[in-house]
Amino acid sequence: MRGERALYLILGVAFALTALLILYPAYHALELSFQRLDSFVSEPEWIGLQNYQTVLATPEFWAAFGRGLVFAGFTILFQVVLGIGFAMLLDAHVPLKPLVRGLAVLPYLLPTVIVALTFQWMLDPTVGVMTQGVRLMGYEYIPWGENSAVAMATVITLSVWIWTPFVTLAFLAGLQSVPGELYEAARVDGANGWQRFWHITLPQLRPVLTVVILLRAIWMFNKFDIIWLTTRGGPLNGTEHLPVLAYRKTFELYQVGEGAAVSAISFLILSAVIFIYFYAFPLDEKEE
Amino acid sequence: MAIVKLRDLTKRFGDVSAVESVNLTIDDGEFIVFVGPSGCGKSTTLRMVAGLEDSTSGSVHIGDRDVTRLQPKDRNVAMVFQNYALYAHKNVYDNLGFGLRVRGVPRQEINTRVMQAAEILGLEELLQRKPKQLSGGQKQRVALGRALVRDPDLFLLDEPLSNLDAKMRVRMREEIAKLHKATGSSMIYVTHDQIEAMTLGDRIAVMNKGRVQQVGPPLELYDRPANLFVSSFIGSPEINLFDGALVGSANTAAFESAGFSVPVRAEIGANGERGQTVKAGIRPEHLKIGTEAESNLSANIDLIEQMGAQTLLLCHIGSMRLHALVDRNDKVRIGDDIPLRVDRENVHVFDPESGKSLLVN
Repeated sequence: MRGERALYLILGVAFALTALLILYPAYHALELSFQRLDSFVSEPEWIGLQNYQTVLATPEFWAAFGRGLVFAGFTILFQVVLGIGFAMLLDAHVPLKPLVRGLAVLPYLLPTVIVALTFQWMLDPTVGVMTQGVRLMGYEYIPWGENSAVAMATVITLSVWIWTPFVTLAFLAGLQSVPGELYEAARVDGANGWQRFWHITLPQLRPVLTVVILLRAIWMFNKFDIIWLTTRGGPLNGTEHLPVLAYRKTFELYQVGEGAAVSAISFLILSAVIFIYFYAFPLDEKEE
Repeated sequence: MAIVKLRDLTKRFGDVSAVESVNLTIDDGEFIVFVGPSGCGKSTTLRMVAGLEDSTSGSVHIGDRDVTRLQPKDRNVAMVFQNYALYAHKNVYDNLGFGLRVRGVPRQEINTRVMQAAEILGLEELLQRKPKQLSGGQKQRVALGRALVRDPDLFLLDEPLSNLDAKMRVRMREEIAKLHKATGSSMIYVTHDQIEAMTLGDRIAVMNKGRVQQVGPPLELYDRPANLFVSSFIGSPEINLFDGALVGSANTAAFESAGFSVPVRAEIGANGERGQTVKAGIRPEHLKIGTEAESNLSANIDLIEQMGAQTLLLCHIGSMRLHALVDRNDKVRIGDDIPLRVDRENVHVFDPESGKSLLVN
């Protein structure tokens, strides 16, 4: 049968590409995590779970894990709250709707590196526009490069700024599928604006909300570029989360095995969380 | 319960007039049906009564309150929608109680009223189900129940049966009629289906192009249509219309067309002028096969449709086509020339310009 041959061919190509580009690197990383090697060219030595023991025993791992949770937790929270808010604004009757909608998506289109560099420039302690602005208001300057909490707040703010449009778009699409009659029925029934949001909008957006939180959780927990480009995990490791730790160990300290172990543990944690999440919030509503 | 008054109610979208000067008084406990083709303004009128649409001018009174500028929730009306508009994530019980819950009615009272409504509509077994586990008929019963528990001054029903299959539509029609009898509430019911209108309404308001064409009890609309539009909208199969002229006067007044002449009521002869160009309407069910002697017109049969109890004949007289609904026992064959007769009180005559019936002056 021609159709079947074509099917196997397409599947075969897809499998080969997946194996080459995803499975093999993943396998290789996993392999590295069981080996001791201090560069990519040295002869690897199989040491079993020793890298894992070392990594899990270090406070820097747990500190990075905690910072990852703080970073992911706050970015997701703000992205979702702001995303729903913006989506509802953009769904309402605004003048020049297509233009406003287009503008709202803009941050998402910018390459992360551009955003990071622009913000660095804006926050520059001598010539930055933010620094100047703060001075005008009578303050000294923002110690964003010296204070861990401020640095964390900065990367969270940047991430929220860049990726909220994605969430906004997802919710905006979700809002289009809410039948207008539901709002009308609720208005006649006597529900006020907040009650309509709580009893209609939010439940109707629930499937979108589930997927968006899941996607944002995966992306934000693994997000490397924005933190590395903005703070390099600093100051004093104040913004170092697991991806940055893994990178630093592998490519700066040349503890390749340990870096790979950090990645592997991070992967396992994320997998476990997603598994539990799907169990707790199934995408299709269960029939009771 | 309340008397509802619509005064010069008008809605324009830009230059387009959707509803033009609707004046109507709905008595306490009356079941009134707005009927008309799609786009005739019936739904828009209903939505203005609900407060979902602002009126351009005119007013809506419910009881002794002017509600024209009030929010829907402050009008004490309940509405049933074509697509049911049930809250998908809430079970039947919570759907029924929602309107009371958001108004802060105590839990105990919500329970009492929800259970009452559930009993009236036979929903007791379904209270824990979600809307998607219900059939179309059950969904619409829940929507009716949601209106019922509110104990509103006025029920508004916007094509509530349009999404149901034919059998369920007949059953739900009966249920709505029973519900109206049981509650004695005023109801406004919008439909494009003239059979729903005829069977349900105490009175019917026929609308077209944003205007009320005629308001009256179902049989009055059928027997004495005020204009051409009403005559052809009410009645199925549709009324036959013929071009012709008025001849004779008083008791000899008749409608004359190419190939036939039928007597008309004396009032029509009095209201019209002799020789006036008019349109005559004769309902298919009023054309009977008679003997040669008593017949008014002779038609040739093109097609025979068996409908069960009756037989619908598609015929022609010269170039004019007409339908006749005759007894199934009448022996007819395609190609036959048949003598047809019609009683003078069943001949409706209209002014072709204004469309107005010559029966009302």
